[in-house]
Amino acid sequence: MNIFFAGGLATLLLIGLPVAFSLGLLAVLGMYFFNGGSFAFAQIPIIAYKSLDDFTLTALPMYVLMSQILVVSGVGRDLYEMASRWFRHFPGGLAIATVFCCTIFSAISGSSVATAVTVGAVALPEMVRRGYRKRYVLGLLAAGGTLGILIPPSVPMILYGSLTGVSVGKLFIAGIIPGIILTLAFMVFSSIQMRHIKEEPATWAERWEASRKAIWGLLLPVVIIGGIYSGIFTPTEAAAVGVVFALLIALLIYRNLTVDNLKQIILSTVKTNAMILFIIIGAMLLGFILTILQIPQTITEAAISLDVSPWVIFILINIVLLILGMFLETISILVITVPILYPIITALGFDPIWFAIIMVINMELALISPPVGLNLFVLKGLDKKNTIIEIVKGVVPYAVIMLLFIVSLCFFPQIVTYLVENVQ
Amino acid sequence: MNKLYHFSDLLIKWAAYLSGILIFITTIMTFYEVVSRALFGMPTIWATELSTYAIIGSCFLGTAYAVRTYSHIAVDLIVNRVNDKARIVLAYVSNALGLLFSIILAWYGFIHVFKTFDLGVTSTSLLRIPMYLPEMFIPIGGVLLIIAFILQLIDGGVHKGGDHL
Amino acid sequence: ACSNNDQKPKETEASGAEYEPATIRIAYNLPAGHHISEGVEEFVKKIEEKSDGQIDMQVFANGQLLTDKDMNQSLLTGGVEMGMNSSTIWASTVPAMGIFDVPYAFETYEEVGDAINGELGGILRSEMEDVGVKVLMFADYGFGQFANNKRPLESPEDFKGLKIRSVGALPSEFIQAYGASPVFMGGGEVYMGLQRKTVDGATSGTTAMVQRNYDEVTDYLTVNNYVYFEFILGVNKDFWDGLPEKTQKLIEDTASETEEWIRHQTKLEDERTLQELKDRGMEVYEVPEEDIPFWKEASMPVWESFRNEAGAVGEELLDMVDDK
Ligand code: NA
Ligand code: NA
Repeated sequence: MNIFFAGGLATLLLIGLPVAFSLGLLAVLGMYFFNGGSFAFAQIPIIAYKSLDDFTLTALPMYVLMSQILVVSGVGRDLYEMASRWFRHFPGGLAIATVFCCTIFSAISGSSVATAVTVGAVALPEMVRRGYRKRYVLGLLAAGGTLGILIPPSVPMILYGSLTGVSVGKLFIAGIIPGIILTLAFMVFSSIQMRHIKEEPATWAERWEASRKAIWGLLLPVVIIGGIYSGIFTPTEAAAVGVVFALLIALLIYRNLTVDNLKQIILSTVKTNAMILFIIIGAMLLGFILTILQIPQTITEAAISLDVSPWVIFILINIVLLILGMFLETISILVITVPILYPIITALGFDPIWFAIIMVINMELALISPPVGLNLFVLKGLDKKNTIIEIVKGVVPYAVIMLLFIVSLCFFPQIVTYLVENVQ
Repeated sequence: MNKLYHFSDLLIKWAAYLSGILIFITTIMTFYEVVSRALFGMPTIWATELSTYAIIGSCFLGTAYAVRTYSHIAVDLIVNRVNDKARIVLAYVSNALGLLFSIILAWYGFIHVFKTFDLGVTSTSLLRIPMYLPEMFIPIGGVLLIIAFILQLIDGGVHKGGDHL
Repeated sequence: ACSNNDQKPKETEASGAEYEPATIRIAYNLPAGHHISEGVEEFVKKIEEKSDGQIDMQVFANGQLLTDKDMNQSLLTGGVEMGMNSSTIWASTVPAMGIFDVPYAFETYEEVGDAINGELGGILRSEMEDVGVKVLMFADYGFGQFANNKRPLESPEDFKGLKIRSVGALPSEFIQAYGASPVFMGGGEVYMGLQRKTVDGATSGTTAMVQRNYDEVTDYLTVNNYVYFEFILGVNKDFWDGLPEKTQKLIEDTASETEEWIRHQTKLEDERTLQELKDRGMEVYEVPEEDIPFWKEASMPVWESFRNEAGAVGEELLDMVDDK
């Protein structure tokens, strides 16, 4: 039976059936062969509906919408110009500027894809034009984009919270210090890697001018984070506030929203939204049949009954996540694995919030690991001449940094827990 | 025949616009809830619930468009490495499988909606919405998917890619 | 209507080998350690033991298979054989089940037990069977209370203007009847919502308040016992009818033993968790018995609403709970 599901999934994915339908069809086949034939199909609409019947999920499409508005309106471009004027005289200055922009967008949006799209669209052509090596830039953007899900707000954290009942607010707080550390690590590494390029410093006048233009983009994370922590709105509602704010900027400040722009925004949002939500449906359907056949439970019991140290199990879990991360999209990995892993982790005595951050970093790795890595696809999508191989080569050092970071979180869990315990 | 093909694509695109409008409406409702609650101390009884329905609708109305624009993430590891003939065969197979899933989703979705209607199930909230209404998005989405996969099969193995709609 | 209230729990003497093999999947969404969960675990264990392992009970706890909301439909279509969820959810399919959410319909634990074992229980069972589910067990969750971070609520007027997180139609109407506003937010956001004062309060049983650490984020607890949260263990009717009589009897007997145990436990747990919340420093106001008629009077709009939803059956149930 396990072979049926593992082999079935591999086959369906490899013949090119989209991930969402591969998961869904496999669930249908599993129901048919192992759970009472077509009688079980009555559960399909019930589970399909249940998959999306959660208010916290409404944040997801709204964050997608917001990032589309930011890209189209040019808020992203102005932010980048500001960062480049502040950082360009450092070794690899534009790389630092790029990571800085990724961080700002990470604090606005909950999605890595949104962050990579927004910053990549501006930074890639600019950096290549100024002589930065393309492979390095591609790697930097793919990795920098993944900060989007570590720095709050974060869609995977919202999902983890809704799957486990862990407070989303606490998860967001937990992501702040790890997010800053990983940001600094990326800045330092990329600056060393691209140290050969160093530009003339911008004058203070130039810096302030660019900063003034970028002020609206800079205000967005302030509004969102401030609103969440002052209790004016919930993390879910923050997405709506973000969209309205982005729309206002586009309409009142940039004044470049045309009907055509709006059509483009709507259709891109719909495509990404349907893609992600349908993967959730497929994963939930598969999860239902796997659960009712008690496959996750069996794995859970096997893992807990393994007479090894909890840390060995922890390492095994990370290896499993890395492998799943190569083939599956982050949302599906979370939906499939969190209900299985969460009881193991808590039974082994690990902190569920600390583990959430470990999960999120694993998801960051999943976004940049071939063959299925959304951020790789995003950067390929930015310029058809980019090849996946080139992007992957560029991203390898960042993947190593993330792995090292997971190791350091094991030795210094305070990086995650300090703020959670000390911020009220 | 050609007319029907184009009309079907148009239908899918209209559904996509509707899907996008639902996301906008969700934004407006959620924002209204924030303002009404935080500024005037009057939370609504409908924003949360209707937003959830709208997002369910946005997924099912938009998914066929995502099929037609190749926006559903797929693994192209093999597909990109085989010759044209094999690629066409793989395209037919995967689209036929997608069609199979869509038919099951649509059919059992219809049965489900009918049963919900028959039982008179309402939402457990103050609004007491008849649940067959939001559940209706499932068979509608299923039918749109059926149309999309049939169009994909008519196209054959040709990957028009991107935004040909 | 089928009613099992004449069957007293008896020890089954027969050896398990005489039971026909069966697999029964049972799903519910309560955390381990909750007294209802403990009851269900005991129920499952007893059936497996008494049937000598012939009846295989597969348990899906903690919402791993289905949440409270999806349970009704999945149970009705045979996705699982047995499922437990709250009567509030069932009220959306079988309006009569809303009786437990009618404010002050039941004022003591004993009253609930008598009603369920009597005519009222019979009517609810028959209403449920009409849609295709046989009720095996009424599992008591406990009385509902209010926690808030604004002020002590010492009369219905004190509710005015508060924003209170709510679930379910009738409890929300109760909040409205007292002049407060029900707020709907995801379960994962309630703790933070209370902490950041996005909402002023929330309603639940004290068992849940202890488990979710409400004392950390709210200051005042009002014990007004306004509602009695009830959980229902149902079995798919078609599946049930296909079971041998002997198996049915074993399950029914075990269920009614468990039901009694849970009811007894509910009272103890409500008392223990109330004390715990006091110990953790919440300021507790317990509505004195002589004030209850006043609190009840103010909640009459909810009775009206239940009457509208549940029709003639509802009227009959209200008469039963009112003339005690
Ligand atoms: Na973020
Ligand atoms: Na990957």
